[in-house]
Amino acid sequence: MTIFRFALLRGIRSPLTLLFTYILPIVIILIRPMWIGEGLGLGAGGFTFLFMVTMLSAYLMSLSILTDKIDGTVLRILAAPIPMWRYLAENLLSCAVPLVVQMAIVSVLGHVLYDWSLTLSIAVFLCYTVLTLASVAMAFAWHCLFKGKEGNATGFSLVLFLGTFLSGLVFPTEVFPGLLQYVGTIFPAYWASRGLRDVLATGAMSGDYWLGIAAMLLFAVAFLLYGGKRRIV
Amino acid sequence: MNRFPLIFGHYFKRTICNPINLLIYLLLPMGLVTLNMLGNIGMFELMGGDLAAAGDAVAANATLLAAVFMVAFQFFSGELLMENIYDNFKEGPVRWRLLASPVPMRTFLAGAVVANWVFNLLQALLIFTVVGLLFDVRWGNPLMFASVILTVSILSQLIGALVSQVVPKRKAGTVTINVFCFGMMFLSGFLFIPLGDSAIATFITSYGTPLALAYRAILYAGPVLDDMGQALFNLSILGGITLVTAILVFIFGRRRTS
Repeated sequence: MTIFRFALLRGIRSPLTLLFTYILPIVIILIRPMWIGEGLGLGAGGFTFLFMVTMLSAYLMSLSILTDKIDGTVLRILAAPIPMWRYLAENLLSCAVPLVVQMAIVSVLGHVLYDWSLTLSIAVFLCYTVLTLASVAMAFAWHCLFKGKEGNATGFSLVLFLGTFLSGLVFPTEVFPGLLQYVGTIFPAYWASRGLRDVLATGAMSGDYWLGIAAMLLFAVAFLLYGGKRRIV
Repeated sequence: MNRFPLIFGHYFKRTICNPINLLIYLLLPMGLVTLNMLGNIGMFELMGGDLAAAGDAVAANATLLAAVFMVAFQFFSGELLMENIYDNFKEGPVRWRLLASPVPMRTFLAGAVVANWVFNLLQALLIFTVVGLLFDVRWGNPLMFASVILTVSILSQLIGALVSQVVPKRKAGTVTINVFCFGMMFLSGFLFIPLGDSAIATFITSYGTPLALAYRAILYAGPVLDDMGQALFNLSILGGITLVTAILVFIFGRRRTS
């Protein structure tokens, strides 16, 4: 797991990645007003902000794959006795694992500080973990679309901000007129917010929740297949 | 021979013809403002509200959102000038070619500054037109509104110029300006994180940042908050901040001769 270790350390060395992946999730869960009370979207805003941080962290962590493509590291990997699938798998794992650990900490803190039921804590952990996997896969597929960093970050921030609104993270999608309600279904975050909204409303992980989980897993597989099929060189 | 129009035209065309600039500085603010307003109106109706009866409240909310987004993206657009300065005047090979030309450096800088400023104003005009057509937004006194937008657009250019002079590298400059803009949004209470109801928090969200001063000046100048005296007070503070920033840009700009 040399590549995994190296990619993990590379992520920690970047100040932005360190902030968004390792510090911000813990800071957010400790801000009480974000989790107590009601807001327009999911609860008081904490869940929404955590969604955005998760997606942004996944993007930042997986940026190393694009960097390797630009500076020619991938060519050296191809010459090494490491299969490409292993290089990609360990890199993507290094993006996902820290976030999954953060979500576990967030779930435990939510249970301790805000009296989340065990069901809610497990549902939050599972939902955000699967969202992490889908976001990492989406970011990987996104990076495969670009030959350079120009436009990459800009385009992703556009997708992230507009997707946040269209996915029902700020307002429920029912409030949008006509077809705009359904545009958000192309984002994994839509399914995550749908599932979480169901758990928050009913207190149980019912059909809607598991539908959201299944949809996000399908998204993850689809993005990984797409990214894996494209030439990384 | 005056080369300024040629240089201005070059930088303006470069800004307009870059699809990334159009996406981030024109499409994104339009999208965010529209979705936010549709969401608020939809939520109001979903909770059983009567849009016709609550016309004034809905218009006030729409005006608030439009004002905040318009001003916020004016500040974000300062990054364009910062990038132009780094690319052409601080880093890369273009700088030496410009220095070798018979055209003074200040002419190039003036062209870049004015081109980006005009783009800023175009952005404001676009948001003003589209939200005015789609939603019931009450901008209030047109002279005050124009004064606020002009001041904010000049301030955003000065901030972009200042960051490019103080921060040595482009990447760090980009991070600085984004932290500054997002920081203003956070301190104004527009980033999902509530600051609370204490006296200090209320002061910060109302007067603590240029963003808060600007959008509240727009609201004070219209029927939403309806207090022209307060609007003028906010505008004068903004003017003072702009003047101080201009002086800083002048001081830091003269530190280097190349």
